[in-house]
Amino acid sequence: MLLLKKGNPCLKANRDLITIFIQSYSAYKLMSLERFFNPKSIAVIGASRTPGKIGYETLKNTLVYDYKGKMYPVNPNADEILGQKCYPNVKAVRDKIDLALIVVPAEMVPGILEECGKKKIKNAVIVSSGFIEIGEKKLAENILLIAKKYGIRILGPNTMGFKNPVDGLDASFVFGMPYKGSISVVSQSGALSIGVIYHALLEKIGLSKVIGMGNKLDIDDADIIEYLEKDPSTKVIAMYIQAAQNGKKFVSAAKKCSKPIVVIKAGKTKAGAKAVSSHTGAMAGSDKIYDGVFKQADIIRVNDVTELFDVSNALANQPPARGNRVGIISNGGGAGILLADACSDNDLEVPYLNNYTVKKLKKILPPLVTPGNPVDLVADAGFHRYEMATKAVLEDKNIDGVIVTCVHGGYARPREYTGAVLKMVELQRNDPKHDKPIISCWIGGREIEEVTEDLKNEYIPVYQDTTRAVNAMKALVKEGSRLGLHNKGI
Amino acid sequence: MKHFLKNMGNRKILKENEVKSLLKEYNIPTTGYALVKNEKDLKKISLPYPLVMKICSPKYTHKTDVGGVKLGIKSEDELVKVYKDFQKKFAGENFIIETMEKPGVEAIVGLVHDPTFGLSIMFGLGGIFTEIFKDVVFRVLPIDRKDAEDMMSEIKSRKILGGFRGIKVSRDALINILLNVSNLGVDFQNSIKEMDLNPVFLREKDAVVVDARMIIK
Repeated sequence: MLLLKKGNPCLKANRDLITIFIQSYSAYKLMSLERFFNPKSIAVIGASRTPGKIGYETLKNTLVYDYKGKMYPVNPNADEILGQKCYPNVKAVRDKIDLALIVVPAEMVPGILEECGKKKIKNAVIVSSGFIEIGEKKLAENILLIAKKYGIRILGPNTMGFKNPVDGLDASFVFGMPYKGSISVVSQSGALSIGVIYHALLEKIGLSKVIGMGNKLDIDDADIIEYLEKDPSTKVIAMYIQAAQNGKKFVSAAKKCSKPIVVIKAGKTKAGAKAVSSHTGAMAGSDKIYDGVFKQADIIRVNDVTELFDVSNALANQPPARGNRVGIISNGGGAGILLADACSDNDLEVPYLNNYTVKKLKKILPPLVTPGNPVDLVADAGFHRYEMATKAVLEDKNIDGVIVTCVHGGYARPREYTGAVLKMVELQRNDPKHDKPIISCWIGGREIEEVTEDLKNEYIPVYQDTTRAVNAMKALVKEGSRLGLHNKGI
Repeated sequence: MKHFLKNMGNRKILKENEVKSLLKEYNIPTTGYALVKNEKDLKKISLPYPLVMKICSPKYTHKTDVGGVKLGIKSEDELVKVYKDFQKKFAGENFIIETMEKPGVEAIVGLVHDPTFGLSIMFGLGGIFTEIFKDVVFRVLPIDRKDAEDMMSEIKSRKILGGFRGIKVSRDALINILLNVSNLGVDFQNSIKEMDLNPVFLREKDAVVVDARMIIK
């Protein structure tokens, strides 16, 4: 349609018609994924009356949260489950159904999918397992054929389903709902995504979608990247990948994606015991090539769940850095030096502050203290010193981002310092002149943890140790480079 | 490469002269070379001395190990002598005569087919330590200039490429090789299984592929 409006001059040629068809088909596919993760009505096919069974838990999870769409449990042997009217099959439902959650045994899936096709259901999550993962290739191929025939998009099979905290929709059989936020998690492992959800809950990190990819029979990593790029509530795509399904499609989708992608790639040490006859062949473990692919597509690779969230949280909630020069503010020498060391290990500079900043700092520091970078605000610092110092360093032309740290010393007033950070982030978020990243690093046990809640409630990234804070800053520097912002100034 | 493929039979490994003529088509600089099938061919050689003689047969993977490489041949008399010696050792084989290149920083540039991502290009510092330090990087084809530059700044020994203790390397010559190897790979991505350009001599003003092998699918 867009092409027609633009008045493309080559419309007559058959080839172009085919191109348009392919483009509109892709557009249709994208649209259908939009509806897939934001359905207005859902059928739970295989809903069960028995607590503990997947068909029961799935239905229950869809009902627990504040999802506003309609629910249709399907079970030919029940009239009512969990207070919901039950239907013998999807045909018996009068209304349009946007999404089918299929939780029947594997061998029944083809028949159910046929019924879904006839009911014009375009989106299906196949939770059921028992396909490629146990060698049932034929059954999987059969399902794909039926899906193609009716134009049904499939997530799974063998998936936990997905969660959409933004709309309060839990379309999965495992309990647990993350806070609303702007990080979308895509995981090839269902169990890991559950771990991820509880980790995010503990850290008070908000998520936009959690999608279990399962066997990737139809919807693959590239499809999900394309969808999440267009999803307005997603700012960062965080992925756990064991193996990319279609390598070239993955690379091209990731390269085109305008949003940052962070990936854990498992299976680094896959034994490359195949016979090779060239030096290049001998060097090329699959992991080395993945490493290259990630760099080529500006994907940030991380090693574990903690790092995945450390980095994603920074990318989602702080602006990219316009260079690699970091200013460090602390209330004690040690943490400042550790941060400076970690910066230098990660190719981040900790430069001298400019004279103007030094003058500003001299006014707020005790007479015998010389301002440097790291800026040591000394043990008796209070709210005012933290606020003024953070502001002065943030405004320094030699500085692209600020790490504010607080150690739980005897005199320290951590809550006053979080107050200063809150105020500075507010300034940063509302004033383009202060649009530089602020990363917090609060060190010191449970009392400090409690204080950092103030920051977490405002989606301000805060880390419990120096290397984690620096890693987050490094990600923002990489993001600035990816977006071509380096050396551009504010 | 179609012309090679036609005459390949069951052969999976291209001969060095075949790979080098393909490299030439893609403006990838190589040593001067000439294939000799008999003693008469030696007279026709117009390459400047010193020269190198190598066994040119898919049978021998490690040419040096079997005494199949003779460096620094200074005159026609010596060339004939080495030829006769090679004939005794490797009866019925062809030999390749090459110009002896001035040494430079040794690099390796390669192609390898990856089952997930397809043909990928590798770059690293070469020589005998390549496989020990594994200081190599990969990119999926095709690559652009930025990818080539990133590859050069990603290896751990990158300082050598930036002028370390008076070592000088033409970065542009290396970038051109990487980009042209990418072009070659894209054109033959369905045929190439693996390719080694090893070593490539990186010098102050240029770079040259000294040895080359290719395995086809």
